[in-house]
Amino acid sequence: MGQRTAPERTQPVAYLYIAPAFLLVIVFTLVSMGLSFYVSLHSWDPIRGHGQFVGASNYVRALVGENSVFWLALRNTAMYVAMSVVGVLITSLPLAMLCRKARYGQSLFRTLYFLPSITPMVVLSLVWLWLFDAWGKPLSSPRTALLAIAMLGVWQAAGYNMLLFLAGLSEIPQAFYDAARVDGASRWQEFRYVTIPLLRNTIIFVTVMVVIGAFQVFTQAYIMTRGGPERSTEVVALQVFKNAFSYAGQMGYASAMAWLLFAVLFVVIMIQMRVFRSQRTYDE
Amino acid sequence: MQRPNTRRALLLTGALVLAAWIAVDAARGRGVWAAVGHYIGDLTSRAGPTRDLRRMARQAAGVRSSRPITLRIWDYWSPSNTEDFARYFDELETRFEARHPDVDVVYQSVPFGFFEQKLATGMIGKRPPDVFQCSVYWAQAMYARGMLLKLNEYIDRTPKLQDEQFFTAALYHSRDHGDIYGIPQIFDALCLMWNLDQIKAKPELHGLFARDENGEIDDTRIRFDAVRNWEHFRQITRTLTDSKAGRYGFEINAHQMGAWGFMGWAVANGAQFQDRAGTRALFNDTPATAEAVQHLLDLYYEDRVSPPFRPVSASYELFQKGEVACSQGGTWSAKHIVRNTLGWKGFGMTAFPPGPRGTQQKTQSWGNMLVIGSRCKHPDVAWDYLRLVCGPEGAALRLTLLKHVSPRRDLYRSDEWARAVREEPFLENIPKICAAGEPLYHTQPAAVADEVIPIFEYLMLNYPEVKAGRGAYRDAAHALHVAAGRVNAVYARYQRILADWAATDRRREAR
Repeated sequence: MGQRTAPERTQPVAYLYIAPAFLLVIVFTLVSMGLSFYVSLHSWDPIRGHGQFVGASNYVRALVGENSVFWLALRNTAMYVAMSVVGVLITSLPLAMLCRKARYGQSLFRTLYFLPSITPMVVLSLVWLWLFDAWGKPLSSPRTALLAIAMLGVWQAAGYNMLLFLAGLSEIPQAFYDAARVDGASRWQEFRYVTIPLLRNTIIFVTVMVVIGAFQVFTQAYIMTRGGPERSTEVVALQVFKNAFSYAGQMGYASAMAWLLFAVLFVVIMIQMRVFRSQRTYDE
Repeated sequence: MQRPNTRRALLLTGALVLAAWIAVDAARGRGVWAAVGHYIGDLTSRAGPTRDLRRMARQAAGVRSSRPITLRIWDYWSPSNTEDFARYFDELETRFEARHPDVDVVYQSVPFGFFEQKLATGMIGKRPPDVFQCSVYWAQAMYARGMLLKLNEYIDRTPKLQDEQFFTAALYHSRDHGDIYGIPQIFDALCLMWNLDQIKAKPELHGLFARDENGEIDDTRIRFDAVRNWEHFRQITRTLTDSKAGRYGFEINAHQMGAWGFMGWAVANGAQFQDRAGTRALFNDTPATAEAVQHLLDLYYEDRVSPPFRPVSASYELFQKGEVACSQGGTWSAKHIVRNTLGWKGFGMTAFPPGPRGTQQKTQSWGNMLVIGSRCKHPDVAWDYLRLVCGPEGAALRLTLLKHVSPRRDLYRSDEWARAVREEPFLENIPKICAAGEPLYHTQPAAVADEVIPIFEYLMLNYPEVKAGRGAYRDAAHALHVAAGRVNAVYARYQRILADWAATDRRREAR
């Protein structure tokens, strides 16, 4: 008979274990966010510091101000998110399935596909800037520029998400496929009725992470197009950066835009979580 | 028993081959290992990227410096940019420290695109630089924010840095309501760059060349006023265009150009971009700007003298490849072109020819400057550094090592200048170009560019639609009218911010 241990939630030492991480989150996330909200209510310059309290006028200017490009930037960002989600799903999942099927060199393929994910986006943007210049110049046209930078984002993210799908695929018991085959299911039916439902949680996770990442798209737009041509790649994060660091006295306005982006992202993720509520898909 | 011996022999042979390869490379002074040697030499030299290692090691070891004063200098030029910049900064540091045995000069390179951001964090962290190179892009806003030291008293007691020693156009950006906050160290201007080799191949264009003292054509130099007017420019670029062979007379950029794309032409047609106080856009006050934009549109769509629009990393990219005979650039482009083409010097520069409303060759010019931070602990030492860099000695050093022209008038009477022009004839027109420049006023340039660029891009990329009456604008004049409205909104916002800052300062002083 072992000694009775106290219930987990009553062990105070556990709080000590999480304290360092919690402290970091408080200082670098919650306090920073609080400061950013405070700044968004002021006319603020990063160098001069504190300015006048202006209430919600920075938010009003972003939402309904004359010449405000917030809505345009938000529309472009939303289109980028849609392209990224679709792009990542239709590349990562097939890649994962192909990698899983590969009899030889699976590690090599995994490594090759993963390489872009560990390469800094600045470097990739510069390389693709030259590649796009040689390949039909999609960055020159407002119709194709956003698609081009979304392609780069998908290309970079595909390898990482492929690994997530690989992990998800390896969790699916072979017995399900065997049973489907005994029942006469075709390859497509196996995929549709076994793989997809059992990968549901992975798909939700990948989608949520891609949506969060894509809403914050910045580097490609900054390096490759600076928001052009004709504002076709003007995204919210780029507008936030320009206002915060390139225009005098606009840190408050930039913070307001950042908070509006946060609000949009929060609502989108909430809807997503509600619609695709995580569930247990099979008994172990 | 045999295997370890074999491995050892193989390793030894490999090491011997490697050593021999290194020795041969080192003896020849070129090749992979010679390059590695140069790099290591650069690393350990005072001007290399790790030039501060020795200082940092000393600090870490707790060794007290024999130089108690540290002068921290930020620059968007960097010793690690090119070997010329490395030599330039090394020379400056050596000369200054020799004259100030108690001062330790510490350079920090900050890329141009991140300079404002880095300065902001430096100010917030209370570790701003003592001295920094300040672009005209940021200068006025920095002074308005109290970041720069007023230099009037220092200038009053320094005969070599009086206003009359500088070109007037270089001084506009360093002052505000009588307060002087910077000393210009370089002189830049928008210009047209010409491929003289391609002009030489067209005998009908030989009139563009300068003549030597015997009256003979000198095909290494183009006359400053070689292009008479816009129509003449059109004829020249048409002559130089052979689109089937992939060669074009003039490169027109649509992407990310904004006012840069047309203001050189507009100024040569009598227009201005903004008023000096930064309260109003002036480019829409006269048809001159619309005519300049239309001139570019006609060159592109009617005369077809330009290669297709594409985003470019540098305006002279196609020029240095020999694909266009003329390109719009800056007077600073020359050194990059020479370096990128491994020594090609067959080009020349001119200002913009006069338009129908213009009277003479014109352009826009400006002088980037050295400034002293308002929190500098040793302003006298910092001023001595400015005296060295912005005085005749620094100007000659920049010319010799960097091929940078100076805003100082005395440089152009010096032996250094005569020698530089003999060796590099493309330099000859630069002082004339800069002197022909209208001052480029900059109020909130990034915010202004953000408003103008999309409109100019739209017009340039969609002109056939606009011309057919299906575009977002009726014509170039309408597009400029919209742009002027947006720019005025930026100025109005900035003026409100300035007023707000001034009120805050007054309240602080009253307390």
